[in-house]
Amino acid sequence: MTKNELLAAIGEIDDRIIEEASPSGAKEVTIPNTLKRRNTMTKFLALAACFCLIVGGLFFAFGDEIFDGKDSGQTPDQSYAVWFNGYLYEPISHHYHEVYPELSDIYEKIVTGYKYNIKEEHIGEYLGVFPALKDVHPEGKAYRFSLYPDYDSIIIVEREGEYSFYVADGGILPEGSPTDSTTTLYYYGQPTSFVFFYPDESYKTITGEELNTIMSLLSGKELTDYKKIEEKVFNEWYAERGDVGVSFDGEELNYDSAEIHAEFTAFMTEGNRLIWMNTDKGFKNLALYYNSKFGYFNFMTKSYELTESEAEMLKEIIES
Amino acid sequence: MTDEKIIDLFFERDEDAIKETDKKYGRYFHYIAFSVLGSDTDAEETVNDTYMKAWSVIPPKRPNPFKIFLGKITRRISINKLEKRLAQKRGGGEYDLILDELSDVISDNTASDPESEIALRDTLNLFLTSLKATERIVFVRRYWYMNSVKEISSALRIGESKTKSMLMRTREKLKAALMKEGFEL
Repeated sequence: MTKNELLAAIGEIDDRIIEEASPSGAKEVTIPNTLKRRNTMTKFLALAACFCLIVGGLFFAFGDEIFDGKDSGQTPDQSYAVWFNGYLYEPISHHYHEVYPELSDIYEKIVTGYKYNIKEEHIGEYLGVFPALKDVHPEGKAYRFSLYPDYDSIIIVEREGEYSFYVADGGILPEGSPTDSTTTLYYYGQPTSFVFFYPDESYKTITGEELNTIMSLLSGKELTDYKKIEEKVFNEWYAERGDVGVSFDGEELNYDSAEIHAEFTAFMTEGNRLIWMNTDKGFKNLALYYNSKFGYFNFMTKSYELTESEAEMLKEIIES
Repeated sequence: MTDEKIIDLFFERDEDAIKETDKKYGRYFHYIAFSVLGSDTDAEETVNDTYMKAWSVIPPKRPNPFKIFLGKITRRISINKLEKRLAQKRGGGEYDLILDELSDVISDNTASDPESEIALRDTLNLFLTSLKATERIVFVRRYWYMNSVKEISSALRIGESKTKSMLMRTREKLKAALMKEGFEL
């Protein structure tokens, strides 16, 4: 065999493998607005939606490796989560269409109540053409969502004839990887520090060490009951903002942008901070809601409930 | 426009087929050609050659996935052009480096027969699916898209040294996999 033959044979490898590595810079699709940097108001709205959706978290996948979460009971329930292409996916909340506005375009067509009700006939129109790879959960078949053909953040999974949206929430660390946040970030295609977005558009960067502290702080504090989390976060959110419109459990209320903006400004002046990050793979990576009474830390849209003293510790890290 | 509709245009011999293909995938094909050839002019020429080839094979072919089918054509045409250029000693840039790296896997031996080419492709597919996603993507970016190490590192936000060592390890694994399957290296 010659080197040229080997190179030629590489040229003929499976289409799916070529597509998987397809460089995002050359993609034919426009980057969805949700993946571009947002202005303050948009970020706020996104976070508002984020509060209403709580899905599993990064720590399902990284718990043991990252912060000694062996006793935190974070073993993923394999009948619930789906591994696809190296990442862990979990069912997304019915409010996710507010975070990904493009979902709204088809929302009416495929949603029954608050449940995505994707039928086989939607394949081809709404679903991509990404057949099951080796590491897909054996019970299911995964499809790329046609609105995000080049991003891995949302996929559609068929299990026993039912189709539902899943969102990426974790990944598999390469064997022998160091157990630090830098590795985590590397694996998520992130820079090795987070950028904190402040309303005035100035940034604060936290170090890997600070991130480790945050992770330790959050260890075992995550809220795991899906329905209860939504209810709790909704209640807290509603209590904070009174008549700001939200959607919850069948109750449709309208957003009022001006009102939200005023609320948001007041909220931020009380010392609360928001973090919002996107990745080049479309992952919604980090969002933080925090105030001095209690703290919710949404990591990969997972929620954590902190005590007042823990919230203070978090505040110190963020504001130092 | 969907791929199916574009292919329908090819079948109808409508020249808008080329226009729509270019609109949807032109940047992707240009990226592939430029990665191999390192020249905008040559890349543009290659993309046009790709469309001509597509025009001649569709119909009867109805490729699926359309994008990757044409991407493979772009890559083949690019490599042919580059080999011609090398014969004229005009320099092969990344291509030369890639061939050098593949010396880790094989030392140029005698040419293979067509049957072993198919076996080789199957072995490569199996090998690549056995890799972790990141390793697989890095490998394909290097040896299919012919990206430089710097480009891969930047795109995947991995350090250059990490990318290099990942590639080296993957080449070693590939060598072992090929030997196990009985390929003469």
